[in-house]
Amino acid sequence: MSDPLYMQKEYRTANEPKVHSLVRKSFVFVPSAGMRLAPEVLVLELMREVFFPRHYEETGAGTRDLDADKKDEEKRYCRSVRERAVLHALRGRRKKTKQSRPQVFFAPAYPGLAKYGWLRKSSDRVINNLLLSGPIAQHLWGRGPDTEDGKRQQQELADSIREALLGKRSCLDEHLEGKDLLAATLGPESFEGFDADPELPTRNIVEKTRHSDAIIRTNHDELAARVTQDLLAICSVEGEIPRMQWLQLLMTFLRFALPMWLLAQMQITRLLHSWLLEAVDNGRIFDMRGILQGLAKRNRGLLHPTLTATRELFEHIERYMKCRVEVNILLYCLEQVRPEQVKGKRLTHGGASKEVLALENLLVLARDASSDIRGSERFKDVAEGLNVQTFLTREGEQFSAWRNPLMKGQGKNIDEFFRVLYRAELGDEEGGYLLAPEGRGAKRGFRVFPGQLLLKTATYLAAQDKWSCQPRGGAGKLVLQDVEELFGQYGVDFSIAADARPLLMKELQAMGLLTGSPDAGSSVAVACPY
Amino acid sequence: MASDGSRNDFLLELLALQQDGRHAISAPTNWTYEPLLEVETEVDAVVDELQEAILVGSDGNDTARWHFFIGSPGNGKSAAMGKLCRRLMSAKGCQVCDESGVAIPDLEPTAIPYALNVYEGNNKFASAQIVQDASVVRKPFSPDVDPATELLQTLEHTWKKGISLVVCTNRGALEKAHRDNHTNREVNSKPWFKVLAAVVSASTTLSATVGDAREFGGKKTVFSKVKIGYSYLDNRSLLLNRDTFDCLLQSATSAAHWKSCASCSARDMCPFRANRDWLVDDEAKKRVLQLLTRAEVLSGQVIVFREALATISLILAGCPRDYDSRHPCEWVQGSVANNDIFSLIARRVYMCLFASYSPHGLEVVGALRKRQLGALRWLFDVMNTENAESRAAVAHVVRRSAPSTDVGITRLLGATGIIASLDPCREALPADFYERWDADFDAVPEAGGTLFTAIERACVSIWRDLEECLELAAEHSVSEAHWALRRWSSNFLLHFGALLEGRSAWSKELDAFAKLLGLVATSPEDRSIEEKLSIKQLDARIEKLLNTVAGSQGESTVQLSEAVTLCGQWVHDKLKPRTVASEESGSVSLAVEFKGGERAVFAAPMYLWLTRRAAGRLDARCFPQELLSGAADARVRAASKGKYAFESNDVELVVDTGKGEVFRLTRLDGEMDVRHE
Repeated sequence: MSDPLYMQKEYRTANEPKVHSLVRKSFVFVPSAGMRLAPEVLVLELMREVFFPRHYEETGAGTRDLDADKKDEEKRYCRSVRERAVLHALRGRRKKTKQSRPQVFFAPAYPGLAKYGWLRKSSDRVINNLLLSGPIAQHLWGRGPDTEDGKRQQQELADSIREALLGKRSCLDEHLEGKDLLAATLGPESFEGFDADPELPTRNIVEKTRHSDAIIRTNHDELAARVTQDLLAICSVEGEIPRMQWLQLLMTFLRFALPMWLLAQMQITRLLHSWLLEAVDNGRIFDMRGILQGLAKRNRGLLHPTLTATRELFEHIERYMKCRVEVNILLYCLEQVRPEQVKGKRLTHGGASKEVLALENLLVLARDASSDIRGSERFKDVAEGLNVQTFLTREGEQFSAWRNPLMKGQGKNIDEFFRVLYRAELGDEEGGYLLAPEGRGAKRGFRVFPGQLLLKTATYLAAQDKWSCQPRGGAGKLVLQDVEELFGQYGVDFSIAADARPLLMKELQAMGLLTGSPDAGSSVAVACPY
Repeated sequence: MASDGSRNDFLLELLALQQDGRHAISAPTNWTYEPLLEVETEVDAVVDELQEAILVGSDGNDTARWHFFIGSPGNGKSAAMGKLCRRLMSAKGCQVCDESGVAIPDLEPTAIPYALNVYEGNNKFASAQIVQDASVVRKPFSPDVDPATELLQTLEHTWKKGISLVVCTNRGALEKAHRDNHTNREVNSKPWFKVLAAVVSASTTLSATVGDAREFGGKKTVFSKVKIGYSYLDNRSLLLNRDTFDCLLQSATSAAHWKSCASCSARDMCPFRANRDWLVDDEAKKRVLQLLTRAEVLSGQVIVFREALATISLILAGCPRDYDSRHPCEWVQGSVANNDIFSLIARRVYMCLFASYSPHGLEVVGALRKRQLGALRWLFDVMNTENAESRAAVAHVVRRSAPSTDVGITRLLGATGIIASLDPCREALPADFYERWDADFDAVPEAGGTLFTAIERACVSIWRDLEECLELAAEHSVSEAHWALRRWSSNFLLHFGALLEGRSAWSKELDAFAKLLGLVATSPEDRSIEEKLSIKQLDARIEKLLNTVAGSQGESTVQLSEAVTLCGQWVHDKLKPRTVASEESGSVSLAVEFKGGERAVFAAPMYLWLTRRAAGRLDARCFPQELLSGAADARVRAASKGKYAFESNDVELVVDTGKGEVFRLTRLDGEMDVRHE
């Protein structure tokens, strides 16, 4: 008896079955993520993705973090005094190392400083995967790959991101009056070269936000729209507030939005798992309306604010990894019993052609192939007379990514990426975090509650969202409900935890942002911080 | 106090004002008669105006009135509606009925109708509708009930009818009704919704009107147009710069209510009559009001009508939990007959305010109380058996038959309440105060003057007896018993003295802050030069402290991040804090304002710490950072909004590398000078 596909060398990695081809180029696919220890690295990565031909440098094989105090062989500083001053002004988290000296992360204030740092060539490109080709591409092309509206929005977005990252008050000429203090410190020479190929950043953004098979065909994806609009709102305020505050705003947005997008995308695998098992085990096919509703609401209620430590995030990762392994096993089983209908195709929802398999057809196929799967030698060996879920569990146990999802394979990468959401012990005093870690080892957990800077950022974004709809009939005052709703769209649900709202009000009050009468509850007026 | 066999029923009526009493909530069923303690307030002027404005009247008024009373629970909205309804019925001859046509005198005792219609003369159509609580709904058991939707329906209905409308609501219901619909084109274009939008965005003043009268536009409307007004009741202290609380006390202590007590045999031992005497004495009453004002200021939240009435009721009629089905007078007479004088003294005004949570005046902490009771039990055992009266009194204490410690109004009077945090015993009191009130039992009555009643005398006599017993006893338990006895007696006597002398924790600072609240509320033109100077000094103190927090001494600085500090002349000129009246948080806190309108609440606790800091008794590092974080954050926001980064001159950034190196970036005519130190 030959091994099933998922146990064969070419179909598996060390930790799990390879992602099945049906999923790999579909909306279900979750791009890999990698550790980002500080939001400063995300800004560096964004600058590199936009203003440089490559995210890495040919000369250096590995990652190079920005280092304001880097010295050459003769012990002289590699950066000029002005560059060092600006880099130090944006000094952020400190990396904990076993060595005595903690490593400090610096954010590049302008693209000119981003040339001193880069990621390694094979690094997981989280800005590309979880922002540009993720929510932004989804928002632009959800209605179709070639819509005029999408093209127009893409161009506007590219211009907006490029202008903001370059700085509307940066020193592109000799006149320093009215320029941002940090730009004036660096001087015009730091900006030289960025207008040599003015089309490069636009081209980069357009290229990275193009339509792909991972786009869900929908008129409106709530989280994708939220992330895109928020990024635009942040870009629009550049030049209005000091660059230093703006970069803090941008960093907070990136460190919050990207993990939440990843978390929402992970839910699709969980949903597919439940739909497939419902079809295979119970012969029940979910109707398309329910499926679309599930996809549309995947971003809701992901995390719940708590005042005591929880493992909610770890549970999401564990559940995702188990579902991911089981879905792949099931799809390989399906391929073995129905090769002509599965092999070489990619999964879509809606539509049909030789290359694609529509989700509804996959579910029907799974239901119809149920008896064949159960009749396979392997199934009989492993779970004869039992249901497919039991079979998948037993088969999943063969893989370390299933057994130990937080320590092995993609689950470990995802867990490491989510660390960007954690409060760092040093250099995170501004409060751009969502999670405050507590405990160690097996008891490791975290409190879910936004820090002050994240609260300010969310309040600003909620205000922009509310006031941008003014032409549609008056926006009214910004109220607590608007801030809660913004968090809700990102998946942080303030409506359930009883103590969360009073604490939220207390925090906003401490920052002087709560302006209304406390008896107004969720309708209490909130001031916009920027 | 009533004579034997007769009772003072005013006490029963007072009890109904406590938080679980039947008159604690003003409802249509008790609007047909005058409330027990009726006092004039600013709202009366609004009610006077409304009783004319909402009706067509004999002169054919064609302008209706929509008026919104906005405020938190217990602020007197419903009481104002009661007054309005009484006047409409008595002075205007109107009929006020619920929506099914039942007149309010005929309503079921438990009925709380959502809306009341006002009919003039024999009209079959209503001229006005009164919604006495818009935070409730007509059908509470229907699915998907929403007070905001109900309110909008009411607005639409009354607009279509073209009649007057008076709505009592909290701000939340208004905000929600607005928030849920302001982007809905079908609703936001309606004229009645625009009224709501105008009220929501109006300033929070006691009473105002919104714009000109608006045309109803319909054909069969009662009025042709409507004028919109509103009253915010949240910003109204009953104590600060107002005599409303004082008037309530005067009304409750008026001789007419207490006439029947003169012939009562227990009158000298009655704590309620004694409390009344305390509140009739001008100086003593002033001290009570002073303490309540300090509590209000410290909490940053006004004492609302409901809390005020419940407090007065507790002081003058005790706690209903002590009485079961008995009359308060029976409880007093019974306690006197049983020699339960420590229960009587526990209901004295100073104990009600400072230590109502302390059973029989004993320790609050369970373990300590157990220890104290153990020692008192020993003392009780060694007491002279010939002194039966004293033994009987102490027996009630050691048998733990104390009056209830659950007296309501926990925000003010609870163990963790505001007044507990003002307890003068928390601070070091002067030696002469201890000398007067806690040294020699024989000297205390003299210090207490006429307000030191027979109850206190009887208690002091027992404590003195117990102390004599201690002196005669020769056992190792004596010191423990002495501790227990003195802790017990001083709980009464120190609080008596503290209330009589107007002592409390933070007293000077809170009185100064209360004065400042009044001062800042006045317009700058009306302030004297001394007053202007004191505000300026306060601003300077806040600035100095904010600069200290930013890590610099003397220089104007703003800490922008862990590494970066903003300084320079620009900060000094543009980021000065300014103390202003707080519109948002009522009349009992201030606000610190910076250029660009960035504000932070400046509440009493921050002032208290500021004062201690200014007096030089506090290191800046000991200042609670959370009190300043709001102001510091507002200053950073003001700096950002003030666009410091784009200024061409007078701005300096100090970048600290955290390794002993500093970069100093100074801007001159747009150019940057960078120095590495």
